[in-house]
Amino acid sequence: MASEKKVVFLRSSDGEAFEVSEEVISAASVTIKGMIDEESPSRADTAATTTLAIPNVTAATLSRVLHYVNKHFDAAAVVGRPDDYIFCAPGDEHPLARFDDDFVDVDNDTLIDLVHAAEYLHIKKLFDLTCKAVADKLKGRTIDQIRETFGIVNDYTVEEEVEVYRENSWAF
Amino acid sequence: MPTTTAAAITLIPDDVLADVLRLLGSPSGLAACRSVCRAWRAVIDDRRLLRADLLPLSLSGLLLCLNVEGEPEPPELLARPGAGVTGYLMPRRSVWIQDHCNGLILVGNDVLNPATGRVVRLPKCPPSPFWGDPRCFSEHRYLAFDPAESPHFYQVFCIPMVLTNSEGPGAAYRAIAQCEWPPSPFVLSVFSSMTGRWEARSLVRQGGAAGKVDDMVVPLSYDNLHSACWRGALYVHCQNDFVMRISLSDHTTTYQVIKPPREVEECRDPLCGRGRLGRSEKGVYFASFDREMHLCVWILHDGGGHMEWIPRHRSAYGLAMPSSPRSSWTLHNALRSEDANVDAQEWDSDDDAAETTLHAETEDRIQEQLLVDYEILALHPYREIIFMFKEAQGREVAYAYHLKSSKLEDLGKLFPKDGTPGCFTLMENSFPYTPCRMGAP
Repeated sequence: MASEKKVVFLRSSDGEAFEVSEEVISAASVTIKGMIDEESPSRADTAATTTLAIPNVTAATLSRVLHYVNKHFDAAAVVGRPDDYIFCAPGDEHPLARFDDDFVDVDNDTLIDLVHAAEYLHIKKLFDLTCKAVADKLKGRTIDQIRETFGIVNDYTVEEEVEVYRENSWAF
Repeated sequence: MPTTTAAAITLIPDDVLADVLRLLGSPSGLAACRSVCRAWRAVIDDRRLLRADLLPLSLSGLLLCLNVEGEPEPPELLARPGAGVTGYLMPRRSVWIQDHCNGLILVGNDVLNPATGRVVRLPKCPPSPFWGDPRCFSEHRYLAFDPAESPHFYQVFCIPMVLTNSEGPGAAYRAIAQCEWPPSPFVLSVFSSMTGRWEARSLVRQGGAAGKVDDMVVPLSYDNLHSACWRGALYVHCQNDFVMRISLSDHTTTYQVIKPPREVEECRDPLCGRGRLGRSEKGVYFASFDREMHLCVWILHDGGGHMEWIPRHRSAYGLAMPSSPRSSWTLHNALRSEDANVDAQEWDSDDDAAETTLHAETEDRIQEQLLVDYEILALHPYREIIFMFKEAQGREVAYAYHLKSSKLEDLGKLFPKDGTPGCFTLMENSFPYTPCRMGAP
């Protein structure tokens, strides 16, 4: 059965619907592939397109996720080799490396939302990329800088703080 | 806006936060995160993400390179009592160790981690990219490895030192004798474990030079010139006791010359090379004897980019010490097997409380020692202790000198070893060994 050109709609938590190729999103997101597979028997009978509710992801985040997915999971790549379709000579920078760098060059809130979305939708490459970006924001920072960057409240008592500092005094 | 930011990262599930923290790849970065808040500490501790116990944070003993009758011996580990030293993969060949840094050993063309047993052979080093005539220089290799920052990354720096021709300076030497030293740019061969290759790295000097090529005193033994790795920089003890500071960050293109302590500069010992550079409790230290045989120690102070040596300690002329060792250190050699008998007794020099007791107990047995003929073996990397040795009654004996109490401690006999009486033995080189059970090579 020919399945090309099939699309699904994803409805964000704030009610906006986004169209995406079924083939692409199935290759990218384990979660959505599971949803589509569940829907399949009923869909065979009807020509209506499917709309899937994504209750945990806002429109702003979902549109970013789909931008990433469309860039990385071109339909041509789906068969067996997702995300491996661009010929890349050894030693060359991956053509999408620049795209990825720009993609995660966003404010902390947006980045954390992307981590959440990638985790919920089970998009491994995006999850790894965004986690790495958060880790990079922690790297080489002092304790106070980390708290300030992410707005974390120091909930240690004075005694605990002295103790935890003493335990890792080799690092400071 | 700040309130939503606060919510964002704290809403991440623990498992996701753990994934993020694993990607940090730096034990000291994890240590900082652990101090941020209780929840982060719990995530790190529950999953044992931070394994400080695997870092080279304790001293096992001193690595000794001995020269018996002119031939190198396989390196020995003078182990402190109570340090579990069995199971290390020490070089078995009769070779001299070139450098040690945070648990990695550079021996021949191999980078060896005795605690993990892993070894990597370096590729052949390309010809020196340095401008000088090779006959006028000799390259010395130094390891730079800071597993608290990046456990899998190490570098080997080849640093040229000036040689003078013993048959009188030749034309090649005369041509460069008036050039400033070290030059700028200084082109060094550097091996990076990241690329697995040697590369020519060109470093531009910030600040003044140490002098001219012709000013550089050639030490009797280059083995006295050591390095120290501290807070992202490599410090190399160079000729005339200046120190070259090279930042270890990826994109470093500069280096700095740190002048020797004023007192050392003013009283240049013709037997140059008795001073010793090393890291210790509070940073980078330099220890040396002055003309009156006081042991002098300086600590490197970073005054906002300007580095200078600050006097830390000057020993008395005569030193009090117990007349006999309380617990001897023991020699361990890869080729011998009598290593099992490790004294479980705590060593004084790792325990301040025990140290006070020791001196109280032995006050009546004290004899006065003058620091004549002592040689520095190494600096304790984590406490203000200088290891030394000297010949006493036909044997070489090791001592620990405690800066805080100004007391000498007898660590026991070094050599001749029991099996080799009467052999002419020299100490070629020595390093403080801190085992690293994680990371490179």
